[in-house]
Amino acid sequence: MERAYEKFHSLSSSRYLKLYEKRADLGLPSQISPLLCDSCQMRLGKERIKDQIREYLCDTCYDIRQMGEPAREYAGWEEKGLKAAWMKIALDQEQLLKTIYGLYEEYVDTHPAMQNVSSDDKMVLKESFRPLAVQIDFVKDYKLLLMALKKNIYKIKDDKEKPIFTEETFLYPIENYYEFGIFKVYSGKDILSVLDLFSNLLEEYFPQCLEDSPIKLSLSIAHVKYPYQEHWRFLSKPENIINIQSPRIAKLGINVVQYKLLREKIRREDRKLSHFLHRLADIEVETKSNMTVMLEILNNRKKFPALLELTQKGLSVRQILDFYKLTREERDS
Amino acid sequence: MKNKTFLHFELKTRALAIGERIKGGTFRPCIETIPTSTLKGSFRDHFGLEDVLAIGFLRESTYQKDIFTYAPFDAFLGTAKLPISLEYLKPANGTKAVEADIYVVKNEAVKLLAKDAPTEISLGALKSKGFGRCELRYIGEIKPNLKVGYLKGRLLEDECSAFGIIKVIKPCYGYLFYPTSEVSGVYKRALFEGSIIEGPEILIKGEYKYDS
Repeated sequence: MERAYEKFHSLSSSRYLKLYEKRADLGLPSQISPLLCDSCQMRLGKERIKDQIREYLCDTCYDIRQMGEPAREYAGWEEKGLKAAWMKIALDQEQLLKTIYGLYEEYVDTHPAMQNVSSDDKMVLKESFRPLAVQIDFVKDYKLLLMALKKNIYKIKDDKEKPIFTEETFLYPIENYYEFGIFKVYSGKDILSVLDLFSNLLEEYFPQCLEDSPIKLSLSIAHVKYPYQEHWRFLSKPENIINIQSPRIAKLGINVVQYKLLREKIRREDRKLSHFLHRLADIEVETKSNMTVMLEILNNRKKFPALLELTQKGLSVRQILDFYKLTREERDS
Repeated sequence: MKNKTFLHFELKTRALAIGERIKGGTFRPCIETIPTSTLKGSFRDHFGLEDVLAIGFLRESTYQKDIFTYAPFDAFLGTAKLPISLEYLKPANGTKAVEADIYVVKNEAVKLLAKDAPTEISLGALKSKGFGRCELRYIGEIKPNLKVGYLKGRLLEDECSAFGIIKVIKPCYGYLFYPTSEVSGVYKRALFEGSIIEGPEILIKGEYKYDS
């Protein structure tokens, strides 16, 4: 899908530009006799048999299939008990448009340069706003963010000044595509390192998008043999800016401000807090009640003021527990 | 053009698998809308009505996806085939049923459907495993206004005018199966989710903000 300005040459003479959606004409026939391509479902499929699996694929989809197996290196990860995190960064174009409109309206309403503009003119400015140029700039900056993440991920050092990730432990399986990566997870620190880097870069590149951002990061953490469809299902529907799941353990969706708050208040090395959170987790499992957990936090507010503070700032007990569960794992190899 | 009249039904089910085609021989995803072709077959089977024009939209937040794995049986060879993982829709946490709105274009033939008592119909795949048993309840007649926006369902291109679509601004094509006899059929070009149309507002999700 392509968005374009109609009568682009009139840009300098009129600000009332027309914006429309344009789609490629694929010249699809009005009907296809069976069999239809199993993959794209838009062309005639031909029978292909591999490893006793019979499929009907069109030439285009088959050519793509023959391009190779991008996850070859990942398939070689066979350490016992090893966990891997599948990382997907996504730009939600629909939300981007809403964000751009919102920020532009805020600019028109509140920026000092707009002080002498009448409210009628402000209205005209808002109505005539066309976001395409800003959208393009945003996407350019988004690509820079992805590049910066790729560049800096291998520079993160542990306490012994050794890099946490190498090109063997943090893979970008598809060449020149930096929205998708897979990395080995030995401890919660590995996860936090990636999240820290992402949140710092988001703050640097898009400081206005920390609470409501069209850029979203999702991490799905499981044993290396975990079915990829399950990972993909989670990665393809990000609900918040930072989304993490470890199937059957915890699932968390928070924004960057909440992440920074949790990062600041929940110290993994604090043994007492750690024990208390474990206890809260047990209570939650046994009682299946948030209320009981909340009462426990209130009873212990003097010992653990951070927890009460977090709940007062809008984080739910569930989110605190999930954050702790997802990042508590210790390095065991 | 006069606005079309539709019969509005509510559909409830415990499990629904309206499938895409099987991928890689082992995985069959399911779609999150009810195309006209699926409803046409179901209404023909249950009510003996030919050429019913109906389209369905699942109510968001009433469903979630899950996986059902089974090994299909090859009756000819008497052996089990490779296991297939099928995606299906089940009620979302905290809800009792997957819910959908079904809109049937009103004409003389479908008037008998408009009765108060709920009816049971079957939809989608895995009927032998208990999937797709649906309760269909008539809600009422509606005459929606026209609107420009993004189509939220799937319907054959030939059916556009019958559904009251007066203009297809930008099509988003796919193919739906169209039976030509008891045992054969063809895939006909259809409008899929995201097509920009001018038509009844019940078919539209999200207004088209750009210039047409």
